[in-house]
Amino acid sequence: MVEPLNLQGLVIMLTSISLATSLCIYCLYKLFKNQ
Amino acid sequence: MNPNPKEKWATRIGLILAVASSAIGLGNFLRFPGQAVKNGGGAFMVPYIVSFLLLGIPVCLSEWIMGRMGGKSGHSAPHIFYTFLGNNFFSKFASTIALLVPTLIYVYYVFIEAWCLTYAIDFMFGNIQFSNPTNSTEVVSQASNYFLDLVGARNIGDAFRSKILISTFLCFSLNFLVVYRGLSKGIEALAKIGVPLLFICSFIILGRVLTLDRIEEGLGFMWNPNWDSLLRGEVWIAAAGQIFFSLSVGFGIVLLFTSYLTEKDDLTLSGLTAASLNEFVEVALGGMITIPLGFLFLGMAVGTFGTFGMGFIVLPSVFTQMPMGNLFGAIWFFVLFIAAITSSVTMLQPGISFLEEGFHLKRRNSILVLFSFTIVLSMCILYFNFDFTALDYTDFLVGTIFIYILATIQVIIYGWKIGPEQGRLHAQKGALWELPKSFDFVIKYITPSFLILVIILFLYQSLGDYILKLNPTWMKENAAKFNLTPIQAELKAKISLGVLTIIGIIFLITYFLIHKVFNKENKNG
Repeated sequence: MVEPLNLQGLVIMLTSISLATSLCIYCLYKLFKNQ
Repeated sequence: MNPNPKEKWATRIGLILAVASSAIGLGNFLRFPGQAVKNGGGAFMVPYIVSFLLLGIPVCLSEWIMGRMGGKSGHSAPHIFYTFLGNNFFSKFASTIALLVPTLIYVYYVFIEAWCLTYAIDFMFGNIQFSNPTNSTEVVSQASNYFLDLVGARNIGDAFRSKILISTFLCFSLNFLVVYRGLSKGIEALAKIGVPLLFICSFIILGRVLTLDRIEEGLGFMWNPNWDSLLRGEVWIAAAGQIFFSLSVGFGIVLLFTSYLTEKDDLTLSGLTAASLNEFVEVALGGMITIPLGFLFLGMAVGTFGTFGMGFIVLPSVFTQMPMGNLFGAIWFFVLFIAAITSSVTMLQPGISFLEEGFHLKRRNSILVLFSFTIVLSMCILYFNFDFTALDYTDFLVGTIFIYILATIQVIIYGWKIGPEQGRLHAQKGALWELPKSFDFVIKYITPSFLILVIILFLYQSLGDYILKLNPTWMKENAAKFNLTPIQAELKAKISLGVLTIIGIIFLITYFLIHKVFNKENKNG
């Protein structure tokens, strides 16, 4: 039996996605700012 | 040296998308989630992020820097290694591996690309339908039969009697058409269309997945952490390996692509952007789609499927059970096809550049030579696809061992031959983001140690098996272990031996050609 997404899983999932997304957006923002 | 003066990138973002699209492949959508589930779920992200910072980013940025530094007199890998190491054995050895890695990976990757294309077309026209939809075991068995018949994995030569042969020819034609158009009009133009298209289609699939009933159970299976796994060494090796393969470092492609840049162009921020795009696709898309979707259909058994099983058996089974499954199945496999073709086209460029620069061939002739060479080898992979043997062994030799060797050589050249300070000062020219001084310490000591440790542990875990698989007598005696008959097991060993011999011969011939080119360069001063 697998537990549905718990609080720890949710935090890890959201943190990982936020880190990947914010790094991507930061890099693209800096690139376009200097275009 | 004869670098083609007309070749250059049209825009900075074009280069970044080309590098990112080269790295974004099937591994982001299929390999990453499989590795995460097997190695602690959400806890896997700890070694994964550590590996990204200590291994992924340093190797990736050193490749960008070395490419521009070494690309002043030529763009292909042999010219770049010649610049750093001169005319000696190590230089020719590294050049040979750097040329063979992308070219030989292309040879089997294009075959997998053809699977994605065929699945996308078959879903679109409603050709994939399984009976008895309420019994998941039955559906998976039918999906498995469809897959094995399509790719010809049951017997030698079966792939030649399947429609996959036509799809492979079609993929070959598309790939060579793109590279024939050149760097900016071909590879860059495809990346500019392909990457946004891949994002749009992936978000459509993600939207569908997140609105499925009980999706929180699938997400729980993927992301709920098992912290005890962090104490297991193999979890750290798996994370380092995933980062390594995902960023496509050690392919020799980034070296070539960045060799076209001038000192006015930025290296560091562009390299980081390409890597971050790849990570976004892997974590935010790959981590949210494959396993949660597969889990809803198969439960915990989904974790037992390998990369191919997950992508080409489990997910097609799920799509056939879903309302409007044909549409979503077609979109999903179209995503995989785009991810694959934008990677495979970049694998051809190193070979073409070498033929143009080393032998002064025109584009048309270099394409013709490379096409003839790769199609003969691809047909061998197709013909000997019994139990995926030829593909699997080529992937182990070239797609794993050669890549590790090349990445280690690159990091050692950067850290110990060029010098990290020299490299950092070079990277500052045109930089939109300056490398911190701590990068010097990491790339000189930590990254090579980490890389060598990972290689040793990886070889310790799997080299023995691959060596045993070369022995027909051992395979015959242990046939039951692989669910094969003794005759089939013996055949597998013979195919693996054949692959090893052919790659060995190709290696020697390529080394000899590079030796010739280097001697010519020496005479020309």
